[in-house]
Amino acid sequence: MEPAHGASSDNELLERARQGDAEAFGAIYDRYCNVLYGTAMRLVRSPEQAEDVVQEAFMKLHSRPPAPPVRNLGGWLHRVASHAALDRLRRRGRRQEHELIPERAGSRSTEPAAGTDLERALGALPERGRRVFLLHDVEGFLHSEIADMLGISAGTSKSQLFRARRILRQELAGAKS
Amino acid sequence: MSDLERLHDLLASDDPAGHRRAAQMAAHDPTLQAELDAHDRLLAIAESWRESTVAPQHLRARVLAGVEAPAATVLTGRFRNARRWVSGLAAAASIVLAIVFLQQIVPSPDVISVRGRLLINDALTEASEAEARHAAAIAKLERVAAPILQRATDPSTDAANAAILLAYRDRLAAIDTAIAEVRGYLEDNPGLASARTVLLAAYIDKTLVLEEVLGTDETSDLG
Repeated sequence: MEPAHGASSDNELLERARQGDAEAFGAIYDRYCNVLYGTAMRLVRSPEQAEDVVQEAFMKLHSRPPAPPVRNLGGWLHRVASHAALDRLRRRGRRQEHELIPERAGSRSTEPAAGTDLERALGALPERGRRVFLLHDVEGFLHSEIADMLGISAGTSKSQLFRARRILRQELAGAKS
Repeated sequence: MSDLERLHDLLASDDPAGHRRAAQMAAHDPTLQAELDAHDRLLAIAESWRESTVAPQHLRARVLAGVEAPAATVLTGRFRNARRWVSGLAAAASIVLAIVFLQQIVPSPDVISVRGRLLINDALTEASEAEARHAAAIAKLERVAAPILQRATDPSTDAANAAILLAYRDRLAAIDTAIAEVRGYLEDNPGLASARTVLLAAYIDKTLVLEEVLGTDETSDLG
């Protein structure tokens, strides 16, 4: 999530955005929108709700930005979006526990076969294992962070990941054969 | 715990040392090596999936319009002490910019067809009534503020205060332009919630500016 050489740093853009520079805020959006949308989409599995999550994350950045200097703005936004997505899942309940992630416009994969197989395989997981796998192996959070997000212990997160990976390996091996 | 379980237990931890130990275990055992390879393939697929998602294009305008609406009221705070005001036109430009973003949205089928994004009839009626109430309240404030703003061109008004009043007049003119544009847009797209948000923000902005104008009359050396 590092800016390109010569581009303004996150802190520079954030300071300009704080002063009301809409272009700077737009540049921050452009830098992180795909990551946040992807995170939201993988967790909430609804394009409409994923858009709401992204909007919520940027609204929070606008209304309550992190104190400067920001060490990792992308990480901050990523955590905010993940929390927002998980909050939505909690409010939504477990109604969509066993739904597969549908193919949607705006969620294109550069390796459609592999991503699609993984999405299908995730359907075989119980919801908690699915969330732990997504948060750890796809989104890159640590077990300690996942424990805070999901209200579980780090040990439970690790054991959930262990089981989730085992099921996914079996599912993916079955998909190939 | 079997070697296989031990291998995956090490791989499930966040400890890089654990991953190194797993690799060392697998180096001397083909079965464990096959497991490690399958693990690595799974992580590669997960990483590829993470890197591949692209946000829909219309989301940008939606997010930035949603941010610009409260930004209009935040920027109005700069007028609280008119003697330090310098960026009124920039603040007005923020509302105009919101209009530009709205124009980028353009009522595409994807936006209009998404359930929940538009105002349904009842909500539309409520929004229209709320806007009418804002407009009526603003009309009352304008009637009281008008004589104060006219002092901007009164020869008896000192230059500094005249400049402040002229700045307020420019600011209000810019907001009126923005309101007219949004209302014109809403005539063709009455259900677009984001446009209603921008309109409401403009009304709030105008109300706050008019209140500041009235505040100058109470406190200052004008008139």
